[in-house]
Amino acid sequence: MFGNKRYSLGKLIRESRDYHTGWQQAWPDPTPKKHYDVVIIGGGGHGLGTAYYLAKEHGITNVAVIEKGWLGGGNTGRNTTIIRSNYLQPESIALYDHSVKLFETLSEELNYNIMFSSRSVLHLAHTMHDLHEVGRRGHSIWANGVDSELLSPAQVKAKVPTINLNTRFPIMGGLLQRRAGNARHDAVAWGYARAAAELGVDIIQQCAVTGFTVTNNKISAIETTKGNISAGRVGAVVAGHAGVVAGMAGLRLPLESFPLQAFVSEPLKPILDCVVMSGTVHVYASQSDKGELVIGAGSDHYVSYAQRGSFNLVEEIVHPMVELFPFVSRLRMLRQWAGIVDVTIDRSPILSKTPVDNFYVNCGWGTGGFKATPGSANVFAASLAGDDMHPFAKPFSLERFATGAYVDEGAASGVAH
Amino acid sequence: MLHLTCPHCGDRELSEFACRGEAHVVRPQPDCTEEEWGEYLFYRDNPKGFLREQWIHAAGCGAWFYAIRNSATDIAVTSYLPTEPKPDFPDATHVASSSHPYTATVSLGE
Ligand SMILES: Cc1cc2nc3c(=O)[nH]c(=O)nc-3n(C[C@H](O)[C@H](O)[C@H](O)COP(=O)(O)OP(=O)(O)OC[C@H]3O[C@@H](n4cnc5c(N)ncnc54)[C@H](O)[C@@H]3O)c2cc1C
Ligand SMILES: [Zn+2]
Repeated sequence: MFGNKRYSLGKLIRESRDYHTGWQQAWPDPTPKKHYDVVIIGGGGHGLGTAYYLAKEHGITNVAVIEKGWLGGGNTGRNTTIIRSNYLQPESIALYDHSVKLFETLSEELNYNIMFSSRSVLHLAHTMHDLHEVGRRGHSIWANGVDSELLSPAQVKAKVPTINLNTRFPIMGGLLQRRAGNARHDAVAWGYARAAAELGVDIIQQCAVTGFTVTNNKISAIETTKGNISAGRVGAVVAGHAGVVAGMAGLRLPLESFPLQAFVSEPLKPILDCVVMSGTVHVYASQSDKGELVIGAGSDHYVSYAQRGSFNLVEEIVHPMVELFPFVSRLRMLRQWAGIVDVTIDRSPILSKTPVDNFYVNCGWGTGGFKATPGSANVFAASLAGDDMHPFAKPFSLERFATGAYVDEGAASGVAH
Repeated sequence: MLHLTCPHCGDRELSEFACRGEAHVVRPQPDCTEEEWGEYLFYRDNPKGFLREQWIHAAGCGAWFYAIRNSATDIAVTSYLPTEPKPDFPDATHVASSSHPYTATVSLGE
């Protein structure tokens, strides 16, 4: 794969010598064909990854990814990049840990540095109830073969010296996953795009899907701003816009779309070498390689597609941050933004066939799907390539909303991330 | 949307209100199927555009009421009480060209 386009130290040295004149475009900009075996709607990490695994693992290369804006311009490029697999239910642990394992080797696999850093993630407990929750979850995770450790307040302080234990709700302990961490979000999208294009996938940007023609309960044409396209199978991987795109096929989904915002501060010297999250005072933070603090918290409580986030939440995010890390009180924020997250009632995703025969959905990742990017893409590709959904995807089908077999992750994703 | 109109108290800051989800969702009969029950509990229109919602003036008079809002721009259009008839959605061009102070950012909502 990649031939002389391969990135390496040798290539970097040669390019430095040649004044960087030899770098090639990372992926082409094709005009859409009339027909594809599979069309993926949505050029975020999950969609691009799906296309990559279809080509790489299933030999299906007549594939297009259709993106209305630019690659990673949705939640993939807007998230706070926390990666972890410490969820409560075995179904979730299987899917999220599959993802963390793929993240560990993704830079090599894609020949693209996604800057995965297993710097560990620490969940704080501030009440007896929190201690019970992290205790129960910690043991469940451990019993499912994934690393998790319970920390005492002294151990929390040793791990994060800048933290204030004596907050309004004093810190009583913590749950630590050492294999967890973060990665560079755009690089995940770009790495998958480049590797997928190399295998023959068409990546079509600035092309919005505007409607479907449904005949005999199958999508016979995908209407786009660059003309009609037909496809054997269609996968919608559009996050916050899942309901809008499903609506074009005459379907409703069991989710709602809310804005979720984040901030980055001015750069600081290294002061925080792991990710800290608190569901109770509701904030989470990590420090980027550039030194900025990356801060996030809760989502807005009403449906919205305006990618701003409401003003009163800004204060709600700043309060607990200053409580936990008093030194940030005079820190300036450089940027604020929001993404539109697709939230289900059990805070678990939807990976499913739909009542329309060749239409599949991968959505409902809500506030926490960046960590799942490689795993979700990998099992969704297998599901689109085969007759049946991948075993890891099966518990996440639409059927659970009728049968009641929810995969409840309310507590594990209690803080929005 | 920094403000919302309570039918009793008038124009108030958004932080006084709590949103209670899509309005006019009709509960099915007790002998409905599991699919119909799941649909009632969890499936929502979730539209990008005008929608009707239930709000409560939580830090005010406590009234429950309905509001019409554009979810693509966050501009609230009108509020009404459950006892009042449903007002129609305005046509989109009317809202986009109104002199609302936040119309300048409309295009940001994609
Ligand atoms: C502020 C914030 C912080 C977050 N923090 C974390 C975190 O720390 N850890 C974590 O695991 N997760 C986090 N998340 C969640 C995570 O970002 C998402 O779950 C994940 O990135 C979703 O990826 P995706 O590829 O499914 O969607 P997206 O990246 O949103 O991609 C969907 C794409 O579909 C395109 N699209 C939509 N409609 C159409 C159409 N009609 N035609 C063509 N294209 C269309 C969009 O333009 C978009 O590019 C956060 C989210 C936000 C907003
Ligand atoms: Zn009132």
